[in-house]
This record gives sequence, C-alpha cells and structure tokens, in this order.
Amino acid sequence: MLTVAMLALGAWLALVKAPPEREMGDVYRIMYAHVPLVQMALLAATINCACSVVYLIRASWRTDSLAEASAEVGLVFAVLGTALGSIFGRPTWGVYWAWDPRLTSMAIFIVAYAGYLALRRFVDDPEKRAVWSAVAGIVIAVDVPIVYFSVRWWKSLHQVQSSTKTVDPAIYWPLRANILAYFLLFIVFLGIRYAIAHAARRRETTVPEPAGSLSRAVAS
Amino acid sequence: MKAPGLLGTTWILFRKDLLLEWRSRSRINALVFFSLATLLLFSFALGPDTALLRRGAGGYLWLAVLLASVLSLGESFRVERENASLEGLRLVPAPARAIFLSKALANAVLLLGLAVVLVPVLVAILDVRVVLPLPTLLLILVLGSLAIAAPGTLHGAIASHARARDVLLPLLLFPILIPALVAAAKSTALVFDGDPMGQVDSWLGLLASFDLLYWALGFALFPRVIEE
Amino acid sequence: MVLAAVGEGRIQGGWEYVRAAYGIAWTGMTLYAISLWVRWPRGERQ
Repeated sequence: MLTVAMLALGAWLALVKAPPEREMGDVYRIMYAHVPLVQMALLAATINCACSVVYLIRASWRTDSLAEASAEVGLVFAVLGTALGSIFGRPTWGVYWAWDPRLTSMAIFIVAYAGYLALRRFVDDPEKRAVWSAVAGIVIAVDVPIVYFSVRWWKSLHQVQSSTKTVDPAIYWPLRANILAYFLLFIVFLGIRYAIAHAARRRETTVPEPAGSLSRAVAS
Repeated sequence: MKAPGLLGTTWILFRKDLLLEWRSRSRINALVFFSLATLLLFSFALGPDTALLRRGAGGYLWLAVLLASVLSLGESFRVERENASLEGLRLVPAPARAIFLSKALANAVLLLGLAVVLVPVLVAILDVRVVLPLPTLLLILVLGSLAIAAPGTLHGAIASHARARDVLLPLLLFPILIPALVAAAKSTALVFDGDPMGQVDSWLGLLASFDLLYWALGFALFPRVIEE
Repeated sequence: MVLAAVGEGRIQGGWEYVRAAYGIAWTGMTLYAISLWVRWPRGERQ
C-alpha cells in the first residue's frame, strides 16, 4: 500500500516537469506542491475538529488517537506548505512574507496546532488529555476561519483562488494529479501516526505488571 | 432556602472572586506596574521616534493588557489549585457553568481596570489624543477585556492542571486571540487617530461577535474541563 | 490560476527557487516519514 502511494506521488510529480511555463515562468511549479500541502493541512484540521467534537460526545481511544494523528500530520503539512508558499513569494511578490489572510491564517494555524500538541505532551493522564485536547481542538477549529476572515479586512497580496474556469487545462490536470498524490501520502502518514497513537493509548491504559514478575524482567 | 439558580450562583461566586482579588491588592498593583513596565519596554525597544510610537499606540495598549492577562489568568487558577478550592466548589452544588461565568467575569473586570488605567498613561507617554467619543473607547475596552477573559478562563483551567503551565497558557491562548487582538488594536488606533471612513463599527462588530462566540464556547465546554 | 496583471515579461529562470522548494518539501516529508518509522510500535510488552 505504501509503495503504491509512493509510486503515485513520484509519477505525478514527474509530471510537473511536463507542463509548459506560464507567464510567471517556471517558478510556478512550486504551486504543484504548495497547493496540495496546504489543502491536506486544512483537511487534517477538519478531521481534528470532527474528532474533538465526537470525542466529547462519545469518548473513545480511537477518536482520541485520530485527533492526535491528524494534528501532527496536519502540522507537518502546514509547515511545509507555508514554507513553499513563502519561497514562492520571493520571486513573485518580492517578499518572503506578507500579512495577507491566507498566509497569516496559516501562521496562526501552525502556532495553534503546535500548542495543541504541546498540551498533549504536558498532560499525563490519558483521559484528561483526551478531554482537554478535544476542547482545545474545537477552540482552534473555530478560530482559524475567524482569523482568515478578519485578516481579509486587511490588505491582501494572495492570489485569487484558482478555479477550473480560470485555469489552463495544461496546468489543471497536473495540479489535480498532484493533489491526489499528496492526498494518498497524507492518508498513509495519518494511518501510521494513528497506529502509533493508538498503541500508546493501549500502553498507557494497561495495568502495569506487579514488580518482580518474570515477564517484566524478560521484557526490559 | 432554595438553592440559587445559575445567575444567582454566578453572582455569589463573582463577588467572592472580586473580594479575593481586592484582598490581594498588592497583586493588582503588581499587575498594573507590570503593564506600565511593558509599555515602557515597547517605547524603548521601538525607538525614540514619537510619531512612529504614536501610530502603534492602539497595538501597544492591547499587547500590554494581553501580557498582563497571562499573569493574572495563571494567578487566578493557581490560588484555586493551591487551596483545592475548585474541588470544594464542586462539592457545593455550584454548576460548573456558574464557575466559568464568575471567573471569566472577574478576570474581565480586572483586565478592564488595567486597560482603563493604561489609557491615560498612553496619552501621556505617547502623546496621543482620544479623538473619538469616550463611550466608544470604553466600549472597545469592555469588549476587548471580555474577549481575553473567556478563552483565557477556559484555557487557564486546562493549563493549570498541566505541566509547564506558565508556558502552555500563552501558547494555547495567543493564537486564539489574534482576531480579537486585531479588532481591538485597530479600533483603539482609530480612537486615537480619528476615523474618517467610519471603520470602527465593523471592527466593533467583529469584536462583539468574537465575544459572543467564545463566551458561548467557554460556557459549553468549561464543565467538561473541570469534571473529574 | 488567475495571474496578476503583470507585464509581458516572464520571470526568467527561477529554477533555483523551484529546487529549493521541492528540496524542502521532500526533505521534510522524508524526515517525518523517518520519525514515523522510528516511532512505529513494535514488540509490544505483552
């Protein structure tokens, strides 16, 4: 399964080489990675929000593990996506950074989920950790859209959202393909991270062996 | 005597919180001086160009309040934890929601007081003038304090039980408060600079919506945070 | 994508940006994948 995902990713990315340059030159190709990365980050945030809500309604270690996984994977994608966006900004806008809605929202997204992960790390009781991260997750999920809309009242440099109508088909299909590839990668990462989290949950909630038992000596 | 309802309990707890704060006046004094020190820090760090500083006055006010809030919020839960009085409160049939409302309100009042004290200082140091009517400024201060208090109380409760709580609270809180910070700082800047395009109302609208949203969220989620 | 209404001039080259971008992206993803691999739960203590 892993290899299929990697193959897909590799193949489609190779396509990046193919599309012809547009008015902005080859620098444009960064978009093929930047857009999917950010989209997956937002998808991760949505998953985290859903898990947070679900957990408060019906507690389950699976939900909590998925929340943890989506936050971490989402953070990774967000950092990479924002970095790429920033690199793209240099030759096109002339700056690495600008206080426009999307970039600012992503920066807050990153700090917020880093805080979420810190919270998880600093709470030792698994049940409390699950409840409190769910609360924090909901608060973050509500906040990021607000940030986006409020910063929109500030100036904006970011490009208009691409839609199928305005995209040249030669650009469109490689983009879609890349999105699919990154989506597959996202799912793979998410699944692995989920397994890690769930295993950790199981370890934490198992009653430890009594001291001096044979199996304990063997295990360590 | 029948048990007081939600509002009644809130009121009782609120008075208790305010009384506690008043009794530890020295802490409030320390907070005030801390915020003043912060304002001075900004002035020194950002250079002697008065015109530049004046342009940033709205932002500095709210940054100073925000930094002080981290201290005051941390403090407000530390007291409870040290006396295990949160457990005591739960034994009394005080609904968690009343605890949230009273704590958040008490925190808001404290922050409002802080902001009110800082404004004349700002006027003096940075040579700004209050161009828009005073009630508008007061409204901004009230809405801003409420905006910090609600998520601050919610996350304060969470952080107070975690490790590295002094760092965790600002880390959790600051990203959430960005929209409120923007709205409050922007509208305060307009109060100082004048508002030829009538923008204050939209910023106030944003701030008010933020307040409504986060007070509702806090109200809904706080019981889950402090339940055993 | 809707492009900014810049003049006719293309941004020449810029391949180093593309390389930097993809380098960062791929390095990041690889590092993360390695971190996942290292943390993969194996040999559960019974």
